[in-house]
Amino acid sequence: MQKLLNETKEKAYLFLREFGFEEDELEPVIAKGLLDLENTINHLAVVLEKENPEDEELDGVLHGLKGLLFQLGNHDAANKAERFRYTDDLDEIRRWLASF
Amino acid sequence: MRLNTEQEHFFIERIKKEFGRPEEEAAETVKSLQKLLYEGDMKIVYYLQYRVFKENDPAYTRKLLNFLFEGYTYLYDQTDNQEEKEKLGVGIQQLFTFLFIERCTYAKEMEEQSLVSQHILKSVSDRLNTVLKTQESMIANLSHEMRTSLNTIHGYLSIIDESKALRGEQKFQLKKAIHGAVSLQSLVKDILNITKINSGQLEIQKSFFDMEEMLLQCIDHLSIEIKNRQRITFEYESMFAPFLVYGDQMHMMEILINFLTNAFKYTEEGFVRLKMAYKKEPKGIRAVFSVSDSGIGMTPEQLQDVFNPYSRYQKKKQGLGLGMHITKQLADRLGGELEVESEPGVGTTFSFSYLFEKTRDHQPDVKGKKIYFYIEKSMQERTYVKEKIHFLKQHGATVKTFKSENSLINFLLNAQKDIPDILSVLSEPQNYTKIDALIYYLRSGKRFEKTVFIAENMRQHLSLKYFDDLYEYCAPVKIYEKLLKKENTSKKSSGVGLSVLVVDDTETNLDIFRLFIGKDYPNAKVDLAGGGYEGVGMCKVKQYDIIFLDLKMPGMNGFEVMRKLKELNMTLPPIYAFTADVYKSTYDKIFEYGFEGILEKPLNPEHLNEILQRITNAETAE
Repeated sequence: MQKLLNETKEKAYLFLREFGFEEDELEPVIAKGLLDLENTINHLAVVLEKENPEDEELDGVLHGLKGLLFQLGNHDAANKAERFRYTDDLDEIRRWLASF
Repeated sequence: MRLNTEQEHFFIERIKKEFGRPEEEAAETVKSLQKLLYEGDMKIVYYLQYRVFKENDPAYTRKLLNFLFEGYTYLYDQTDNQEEKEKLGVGIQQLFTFLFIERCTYAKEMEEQSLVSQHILKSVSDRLNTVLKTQESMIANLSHEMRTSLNTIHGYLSIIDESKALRGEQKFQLKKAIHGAVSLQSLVKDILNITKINSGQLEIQKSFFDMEEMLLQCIDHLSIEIKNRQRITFEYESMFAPFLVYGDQMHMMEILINFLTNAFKYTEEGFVRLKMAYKKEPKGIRAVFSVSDSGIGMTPEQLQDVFNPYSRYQKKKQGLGLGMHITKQLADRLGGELEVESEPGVGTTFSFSYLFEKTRDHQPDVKGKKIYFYIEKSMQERTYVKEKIHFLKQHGATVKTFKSENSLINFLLNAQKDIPDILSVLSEPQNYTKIDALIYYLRSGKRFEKTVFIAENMRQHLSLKYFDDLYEYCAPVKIYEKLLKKENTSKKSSGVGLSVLVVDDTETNLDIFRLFIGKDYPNAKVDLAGGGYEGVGMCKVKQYDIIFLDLKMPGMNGFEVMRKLKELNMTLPPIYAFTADVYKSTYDKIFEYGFEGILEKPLNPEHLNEILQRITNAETAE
């Protein structure tokens, strides 16, 4: 997970700096954002541990993850999260989670 | 026991007649049948079973059963021997059983196969739906990405524009850059729309707009072409339109830009003319936009396939030849009509005619404003200018017209209290430079610091430094309104008294929202709610100027919050959906629920500011 958090942190600074914010303005927001992200990923992992996760719950978590990643400037990962909302291959999501 | 000659003959004739078999084959079949009936040889049963399977035709099976039944009855009636009758019965029973079982088995197999096919079809359909959803999502995300970058460019350019750091020539160039960015934004959107046309998903987005303003934006898009192609005179003629029309401005612009691009592409020298005329019809106002050129023209054969994809008259010209094809598709989708007239060596005219069924009177916000003009002699009698002045007066503006350069200069040098909000100059090209220098002088004093100086109808590119805004053609009234509004809104831009509620279940989104609002509206009061119930509760105790509402939240989602708020029977401020699901279905649903619009995720400060600006503008106007 650390890999995704580090990558998102880096991208978040780049992305939000684009809009003219200073480092000290961004720091607390990004720190909190990463904490949110960590919680969301943990939630996703818990949902995926179930043998037959409920579609609605899984979609809700992936939706939240996508929004968060988008907002933090990690658009590649956000797009992936969005794509996962429409896949039946839960192992693919599990593999993705395991990859970082 | 065996069949006698007469019986054999009976069967052979029946087989020939019913099944069209030749004599020899029929005789062989009868022998096999005889072996079954009297010796229990099953060969004929298997053969008939095979035929039933191969023919796979219920009519054939029926014919076969009839034949066997008739044959059995015939033989049964002819014999008195009980043992023979029993053997006949067993043989026929075997035949019936096998054939019947074969048909039933076959029917069962078919049923199973059909179920398998249905299952496969369902899987394929599910998979296709998934692919389509993924594509829709990819397109939406791609638009996010591209638009974000363009919005940043546009945003920064607008900041420079608003800072009033630039004047005259540089301001003119900045304006072109802004319009270029805006056009590019539209084009990016259009590229996505082309994909949508092909998949039948093109979204028509109608709003009220000013036709003249739209035409000037089209011209701006081609401004570099117009400036660089010195052997071509660009002409623009438009009727004065004292009304706004309701239609899809963006797609109409694309049609006209395609016309203009095409005209410049196929014209070496002479003219390119953009024209707009309209007339009232029982069902609305019909506008005809046309672009004529003195280019190479087209033969009747070329004209026939001008709207076909990949048709270019000259392969050395740039482009894929898709422009006119897209134009035609867009025009069809909008419900307009395209026409083209052309003559080789003379030129071409493309026109787009559209019936605007919904229009509304343009009510410009110019009441009490002083709008003064200097109009040189050749322009004074132009219908367009006369109608514009009459229109401004009608709506409460104080209009003064200087008809000579001397009277203008005299006024500018001596005015003390009678200071105009706008001073517009429509002159001969050589006079603009003189007045530009005068503006420089006037700005050194304080009297004209709030006056907006506009150079209109310059007809050519002029390097002017001190005019606030430059127009090569006559500026539409909408432009005056915008310039006047800019003056007002700068007072409000800090967001004093602006009260905003943001409802989103993700804390980070709320933090970023607050950060973005605070940047340009440091005095705005921003309340954050982490869920639908909390949001509704906060609306009950406080009146907000604007609400941003996340659509997908656990507990009470955005749509439910909206419904709940409506049930409360209170005055609701504009409510914007805050979402990353920017699909057509989302758009349809949010408008159905009464949202004011969508603010897309990831949050873009330019979009946010546009919305907040609208709110503050509305408040200022009130």
